[in-house]
Amino acid sequence: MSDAGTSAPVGRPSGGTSGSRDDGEIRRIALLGNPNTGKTTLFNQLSGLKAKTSNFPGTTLEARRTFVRAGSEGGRDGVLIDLPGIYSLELDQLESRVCREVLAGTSAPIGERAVPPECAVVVVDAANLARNLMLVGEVMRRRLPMAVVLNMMDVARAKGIDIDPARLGAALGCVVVVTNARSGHGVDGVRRAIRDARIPTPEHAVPGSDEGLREWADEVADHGVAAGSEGPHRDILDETRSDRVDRVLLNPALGLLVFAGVMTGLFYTLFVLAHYPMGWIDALFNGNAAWVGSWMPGWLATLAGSGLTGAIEAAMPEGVVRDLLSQGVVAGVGSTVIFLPQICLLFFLISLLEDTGYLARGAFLMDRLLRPFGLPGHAFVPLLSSHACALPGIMAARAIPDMKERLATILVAPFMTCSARLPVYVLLTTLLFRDRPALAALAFVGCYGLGIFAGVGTALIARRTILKGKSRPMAMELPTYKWPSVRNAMVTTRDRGWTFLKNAGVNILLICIVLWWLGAYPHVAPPKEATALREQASALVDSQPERAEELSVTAVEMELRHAKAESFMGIIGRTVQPVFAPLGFDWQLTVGVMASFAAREVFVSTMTVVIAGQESDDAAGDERLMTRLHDATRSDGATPIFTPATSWSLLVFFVLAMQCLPTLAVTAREAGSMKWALLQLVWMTGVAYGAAALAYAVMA
Amino acid sequence: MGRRGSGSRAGVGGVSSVNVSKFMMASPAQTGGGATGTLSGVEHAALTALRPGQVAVIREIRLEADDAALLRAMGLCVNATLRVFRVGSPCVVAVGGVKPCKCGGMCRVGLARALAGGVYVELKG
Repeated sequence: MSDAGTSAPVGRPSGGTSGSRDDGEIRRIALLGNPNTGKTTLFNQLSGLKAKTSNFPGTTLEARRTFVRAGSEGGRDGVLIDLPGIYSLELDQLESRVCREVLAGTSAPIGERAVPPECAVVVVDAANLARNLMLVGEVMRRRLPMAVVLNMMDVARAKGIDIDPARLGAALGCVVVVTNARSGHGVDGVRRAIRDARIPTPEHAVPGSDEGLREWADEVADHGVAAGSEGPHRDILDETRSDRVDRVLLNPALGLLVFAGVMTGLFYTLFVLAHYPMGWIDALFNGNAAWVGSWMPGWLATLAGSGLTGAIEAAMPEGVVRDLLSQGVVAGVGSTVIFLPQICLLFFLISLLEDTGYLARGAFLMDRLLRPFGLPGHAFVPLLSSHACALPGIMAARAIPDMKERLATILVAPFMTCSARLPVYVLLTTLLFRDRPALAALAFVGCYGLGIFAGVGTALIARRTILKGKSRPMAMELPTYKWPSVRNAMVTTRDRGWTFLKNAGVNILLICIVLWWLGAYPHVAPPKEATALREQASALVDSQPERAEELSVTAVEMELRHAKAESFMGIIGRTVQPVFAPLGFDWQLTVGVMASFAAREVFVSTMTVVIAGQESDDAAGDERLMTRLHDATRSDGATPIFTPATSWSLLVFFVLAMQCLPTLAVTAREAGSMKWALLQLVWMTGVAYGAAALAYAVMA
Repeated sequence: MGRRGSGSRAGVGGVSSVNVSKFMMASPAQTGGGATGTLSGVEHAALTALRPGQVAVIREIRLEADDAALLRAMGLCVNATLRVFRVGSPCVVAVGGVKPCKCGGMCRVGLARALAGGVYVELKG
């Protein structure tokens, strides 16, 4: 059930002509239709891009709502609720159940009152009228005021199919209007149709049986054909251009090649294009020396060179508040927003591809590969996306219709090697295979393979245990190929980006602040050795300035190492080190693993600070750093930290472990419950721990 | 489960693996509880046995109720005309109506082999 009346209707203006209306006067209008009828495009036209997104209660099904003005011709304003695309109201599927409940008034999107809609608008594809009218018939059985929108008439006419809305309206006993949702033609007519909606009085009563419904739909569709129309140019079953294209694109060999090419192009575009805004965001928060110009005033040069973090540190007096703002809040916001370009771009590109009709074909091609592991073909794009970042990958799993298959995909997506793992892979494979790049590359490929193997293996186990259930064979409409709608893709992109920021973003920010605090506090006095070095440096600053500089740098490194070791994170690392002993980790590696719990890439920077006491920002520095890490020893001063066995163990651990709290936040949201996020965390950590311990035992 | 309260004619537990099936007054027990004797003496081919280009009329759907209900909602119901464009997985068919109609019906449906094998048809022409 819905939380009744928890907020004002969406998009409703705060003032103006409708501002005085009581909430009870707002009409609730349900928008229904088969998939691929242009329903969402019509909704976007009616919403004017001012829709709000929420979920249907107790589900992860997205509900979009918008305020619809009655217009100059009278009637009342209303809230239009975009229901999921369905083939039938009577199917035993989540989408159908939600539509049934909304029409019955027992459910509503979160934020709306659960009352029966005063009007149901059914969008039908004019080029596929008879099949679409079956859904119209099912809505008519519910005796609701309704209107029918005959969309894509241009496509139908191009095929020689001419439907007369007046004749069809007479046969159905309700208002029928014609639109071209893509161009916006006829959208005002939909507003009039909503105003004039009434309970249908059809010429022929809708039969109760399924067989009768199909015959009724065919009859009504025939009634709707314009007088004098000779019917379609070709037999409805004749081969079309789309069919000929499908011969190639659905071919098991050629189709896979094309699919591989399309996906490569998509992700290449994603990586290339997302790189720029991600760099800009990083520079905005952390600064970029290359952005500093000699013409800049001081404050602008600080902002450009040190970013928001540096600007705050320069502007505020030292203290907890400054540290919280600069290193906690601003850095946390930065680490959230940095994901946005990849998320937005991925959804923009996927939305374009989906709109062309190609993704439905791709899902079929991949179904054969993924089905043995209990995953549907739809899971391919989410899993592939997860190789860039698990966050958009998990969000892309919404395209999977079956809930158990969707959950399985969400659970295994973080096993795929995301870009955040790459710095760790580079560090460890370089330590393992210095001066042997071919072997390092092979180990790199092995990491990708291990992630995929663990993912599909986990899916198989999940689908045979906790997500047990029949794998439903695929049945999917293959829409005619067409040019995609950029407007629709932009709306989808905006919705996905905003959903990420609003829900997951807040959690990620909080997590970042907590982890910053654990790593930065308590403040401790510098070690005596560092203080002594500083005193020596002060004494030598005039006579031997270079030596003084070296001593100062060493003192800073010692202070950083000491601060990290004595922080709460360091204390926790030393305390839990025995747990990681079977993996070969000493306390310093344990601190690195703990600190990278929020994000894997943090491991590299933590290691450089804990072990080397510095971070590098150039190639020569990288080489020096690698040498220091390679030569670093444990507390006994003799045993290397990075032995081959420890490095292999670490590598395996990072391939398999859930070291990404933002992913957990998104999993909890997309799966609809925190328990799935916890299960993901426990399972992945357990698998990583076991596999890393095995690797250590074998290599040691 | 499947289609709610619809008294589905489908609902067969095990789907025959043979491509051509002959139902001789099949009893409800044999066909999963819903079949009638309307198919006596007539041979019907599973959709998987057809070749690209062949046109047929659906005579029986022998799938679990929820799968059958989904196919029916997508237009693949008894007496509907279809044409095969591709065999294998997916099996791609064009779906027409149950009656001759001038209103078109251009939809193409892709079916996994497991589903196509449960759709029994009578060849036309």
